[in-house]
Amino acid sequence: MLVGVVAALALLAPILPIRDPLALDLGHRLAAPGAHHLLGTDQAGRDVLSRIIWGSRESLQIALSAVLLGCLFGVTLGLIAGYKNGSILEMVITRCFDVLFSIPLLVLAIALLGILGARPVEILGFTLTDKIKLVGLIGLSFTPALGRIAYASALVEAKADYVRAKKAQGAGWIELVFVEIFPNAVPSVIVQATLFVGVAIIVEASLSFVGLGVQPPTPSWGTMLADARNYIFSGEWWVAVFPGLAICATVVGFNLLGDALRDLLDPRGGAKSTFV
Amino acid sequence: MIGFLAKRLAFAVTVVIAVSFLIFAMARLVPTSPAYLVLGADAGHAEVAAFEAKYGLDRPLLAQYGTWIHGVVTRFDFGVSFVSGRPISTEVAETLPVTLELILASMVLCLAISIPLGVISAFQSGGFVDHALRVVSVLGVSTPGFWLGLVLILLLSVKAGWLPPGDLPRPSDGVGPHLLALILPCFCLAIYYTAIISRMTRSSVMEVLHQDYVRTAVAMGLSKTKIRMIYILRNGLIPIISVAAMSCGYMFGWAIVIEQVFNIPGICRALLAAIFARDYNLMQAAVLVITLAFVLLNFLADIGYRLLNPRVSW
Repeated sequence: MLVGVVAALALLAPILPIRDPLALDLGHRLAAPGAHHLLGTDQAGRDVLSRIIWGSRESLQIALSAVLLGCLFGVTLGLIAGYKNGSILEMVITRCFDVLFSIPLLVLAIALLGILGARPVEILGFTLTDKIKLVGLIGLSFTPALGRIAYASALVEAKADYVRAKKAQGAGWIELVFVEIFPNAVPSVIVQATLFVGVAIIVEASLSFVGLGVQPPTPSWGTMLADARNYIFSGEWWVAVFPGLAICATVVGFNLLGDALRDLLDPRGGAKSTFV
Repeated sequence: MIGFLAKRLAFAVTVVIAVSFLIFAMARLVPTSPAYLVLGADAGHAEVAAFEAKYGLDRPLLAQYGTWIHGVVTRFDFGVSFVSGRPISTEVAETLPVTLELILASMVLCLAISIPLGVISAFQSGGFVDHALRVVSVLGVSTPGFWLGLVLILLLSVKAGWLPPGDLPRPSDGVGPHLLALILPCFCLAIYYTAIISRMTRSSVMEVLHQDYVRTAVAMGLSKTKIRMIYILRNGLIPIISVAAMSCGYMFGWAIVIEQVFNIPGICRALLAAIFARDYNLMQAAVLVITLAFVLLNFLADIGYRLLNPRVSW
């Protein structure tokens, strides 16, 4: 439900009857919430509500792409490692997951973002924008966890009769892994991926908050909070409170969705959720 | 057991070396020489070359790394910051204890809340505490700590004036104000892991609750309290130890944001400041120290788990 509302708002932002999130209105700086501006305005007179809605596009885009990227790498590697049980390839892949698990990825990501700089950089002819860097680093940090889940199911499925039957019919390993085994690994991966979308939203907001993520003036929940930091002492509470509430509501939504999917797809995972 | 320890230690050392080399190399692949930071953007070629020769920046990457890591290991010498001119070891010695205190205090707070909460909700599954825990834990994992920090500063510091909004006075200037200033940052850093660990405690205790040996103990007529305290908790809480140690490691990442919000002079804030000042020497030192702490915590978690749980082979 919550996820649906947020997604709809994000998708419909261009046609909703809301103000331009970038329009400056210096005559109405830091206006309190009221009939004119439902959630007030920020230090440049920009409408907070419309910035939150436009900001949801950035946050969802980055979070969803990061999780998809993590799934792409993690699941592919995990499935191959699980199928090629006992091979050197399996050892290399699982070792890589171990290494990624045992380093402080968030700290490393922040350092790498710092070295690359927040502005777009060009490497080997590719232009890396701030968003692509964020997606890459957050996605990478999800890879080992998603990979291990895919690996665990591939280990089990690879020994199942239906896979061996296919193999006896002469199917190649690529077909076996991606056509036969993959669909059986999907449910548990989806549950984890949904929960990770929530984490990705928080990580993106945190990075943007400290100035290493989405760059102003693009509205994002993290940059809005970074601006708001200066105004909590002078009483303009709305600039700080509402973007955070938007983050909470969205992340709660993804967490509840993840729990519900677990009950639906992976019922051994726990009791029925009473939330949704 | 010795074999396991040796293997585990070798892995940890390899990881630390790999991560520190990665950061070291990345920082040196940046096209602009740090010489321009020190000498100014309009420095001449000869000056830059002299500067690079003085600090060994013209040597091959591996040789530079070798010298650096050798200095770190043998003399606790991380080199000199090109921005402030101070030795980085001083910087690390000043800021690391602050972050360690913040993280340990947060973990103590986290365990003090989450273990009783998780245990009670497991024992009274379906009761009030259990339902409350479900709601609180979803909110806990969904609330960004830094935003909670802003809101709490707004409510408790600006409006109510109960707690200081930031800055961490040294313990030598009075233990009271020091501890008071730690409350908000610790709470914000702890909330996410409080939610996670209380849920884990619940499911871990629930699992033990249905084991055969517990049923046997009940059948033998042992008192409920004795069964719960000795038989269930001792086994149910073992997994929590490694989760807690790993969470401490992850807290270093979140501490970067929390130290920023509360203006706490820890190593994570120093890392962020170094990034923005392009102070790569300080940055690589901070990443090395944090990685070391992270790997060490994981190592201890592994050892502790095996020591407490004799069923896991070495």
